[in-house]
Amino acid sequence: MREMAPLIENECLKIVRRRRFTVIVAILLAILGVVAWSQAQQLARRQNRDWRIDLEQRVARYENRLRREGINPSWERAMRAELARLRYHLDRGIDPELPTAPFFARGFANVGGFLLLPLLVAVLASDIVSAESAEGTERLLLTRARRRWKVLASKAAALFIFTTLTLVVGGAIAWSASALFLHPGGWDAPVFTGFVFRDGGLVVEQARQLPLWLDTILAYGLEWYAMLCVASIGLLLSVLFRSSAASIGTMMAGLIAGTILTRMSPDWTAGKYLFVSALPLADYYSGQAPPYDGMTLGFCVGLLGAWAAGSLALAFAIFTRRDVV
Amino acid sequence: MEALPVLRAQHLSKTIGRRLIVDDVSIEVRRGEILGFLGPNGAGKTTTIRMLVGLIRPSGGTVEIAGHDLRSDFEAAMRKVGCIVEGPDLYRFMTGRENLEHFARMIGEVRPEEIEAVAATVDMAHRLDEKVRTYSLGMRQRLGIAQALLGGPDLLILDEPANGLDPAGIREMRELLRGLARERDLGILISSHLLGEVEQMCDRVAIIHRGRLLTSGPVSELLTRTDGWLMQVDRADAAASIMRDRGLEVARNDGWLEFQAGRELIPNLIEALVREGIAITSVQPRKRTLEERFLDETHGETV
Repeated sequence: MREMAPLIENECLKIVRRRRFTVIVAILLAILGVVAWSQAQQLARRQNRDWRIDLEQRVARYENRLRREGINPSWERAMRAELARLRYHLDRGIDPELPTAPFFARGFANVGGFLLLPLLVAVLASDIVSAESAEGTERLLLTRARRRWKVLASKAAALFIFTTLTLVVGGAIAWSASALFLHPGGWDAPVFTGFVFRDGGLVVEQARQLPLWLDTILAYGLEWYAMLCVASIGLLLSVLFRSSAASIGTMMAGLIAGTILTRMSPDWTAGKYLFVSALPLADYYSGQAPPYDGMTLGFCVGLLGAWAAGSLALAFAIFTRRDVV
Repeated sequence: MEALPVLRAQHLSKTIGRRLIVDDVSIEVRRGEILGFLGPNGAGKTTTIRMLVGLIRPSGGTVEIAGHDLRSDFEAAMRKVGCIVEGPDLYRFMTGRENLEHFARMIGEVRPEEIEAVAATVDMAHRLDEKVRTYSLGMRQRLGIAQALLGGPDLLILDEPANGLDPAGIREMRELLRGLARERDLGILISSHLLGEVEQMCDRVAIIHRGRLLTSGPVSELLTRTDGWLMQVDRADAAASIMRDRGLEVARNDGWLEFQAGRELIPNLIEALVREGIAITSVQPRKRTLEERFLDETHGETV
């Protein structure tokens, strides 16, 4: 570890000096700023409406229905869930039809995990090795008294550090940009999660009520895991290709082609083994149906882990053995 | 007792696909000496150098640096080497100092003073805080050498260090390397195709052609190992025909007759010419430049 730390420091320094992370933060600021602004426009249009009376009426309606007997138990659960959410908003004085800043930040894990975050991670990963071969610095880097696996391990570590930072900074920007226009608080709002799709229907038995902050941590945690897998695959591509453009191009083509395949051809069941179909972990966690049957959250986590482990093993095998010409 | 060579490469070979790129090349470099590694482009020079520093895995043979086997003891061996392989490609988006700090961190135990010291050695201290992007090629060459000197190596391996330098830059580089070999007792291996430069800088040369080592030895020995003679006479045509009668091959060059003959034949030849009334103004052994020697060695094998 004593000799690894300086190597990792080197790799982090190079990512910063190449301004890769600056570009990522700029993209996040631009996109999240525009989305938060458009939410604010929505807010402005609704300003005059008295949502409080409306909300009180909806709460009363749910309470009346729940007093009746013989309701389907799963309906009852769903109604209680909705009632708890509405009551929370009524108590805090927050319009339930408008997202709060924490809710916006939480939603970013789902929306971003689909294409934006994987692409940003691909930007980080794609040239982490290939830039060294393209610029000729690989020859200096590998003729130092450090074995090649240590050099690649330091690059992987730096990549994972900045992947993590991308997610954390993304979440922070999502919250702070939306906090300019939306209600900034409400981290303890109740959230219902754990809906499962089975036999073509929504199963609510396993749904649980969580505070928003815990739900957010869980969603970001899953997304973090998924992004580390993307980073591992990106690292392999960066080892394979000598040019950064080729490696980022392949990554983008893979992400986009994979997304199209999984969404457009549900009959091609082998598609469930593509890493792209398992990528929106946060989406599946919050109840969105995966494109293929049998893709439980556990299956997706395992599949991504296998892709990541395979990519890392191949990247190390190639990098430590190949001739540098 | 002679010291262990700081670099000892034995029977190196490299096959890529079915092509034998380097064939049984053995090289030694001792402390304090500069070895010139010569060969035309495509002769296997760069492949050999890459095998010496672990960038390419040899198909056969071993490399030992300061007694450490490069394969089994990579880190200990590489700690003793500083190198530039094919151009000083440093990180252009960082300053000279950041580059040196970057490579120092890969070595460990390098003090900040040492960075200043290596920069001063190559006369780059005043430009150290500018981005490498703004450097001239000569400055990048020098920073490359500074980088190679970090960590106090016993051996420098420099691939074409004079490439792209102007004559003044080449002279500067030559003096710098000579000084390093002498003062720090470093072994230096330089590859080059600028033979004139190597001739003035190196103690020994090794010539590689088509993947095989053709010859190696001290520069002085390679230059005088010759049977060539030059002669100046008043009647060149007559003299040439007498020589041809004796089975010698003669060439006319700028008023000089140039021929190959063993030293023992010379007095006899002079006597014969004098007998024919030819006035001889000068006879001398032809000293060849390394370049001519190099062309001789590779003659007939070039395509």
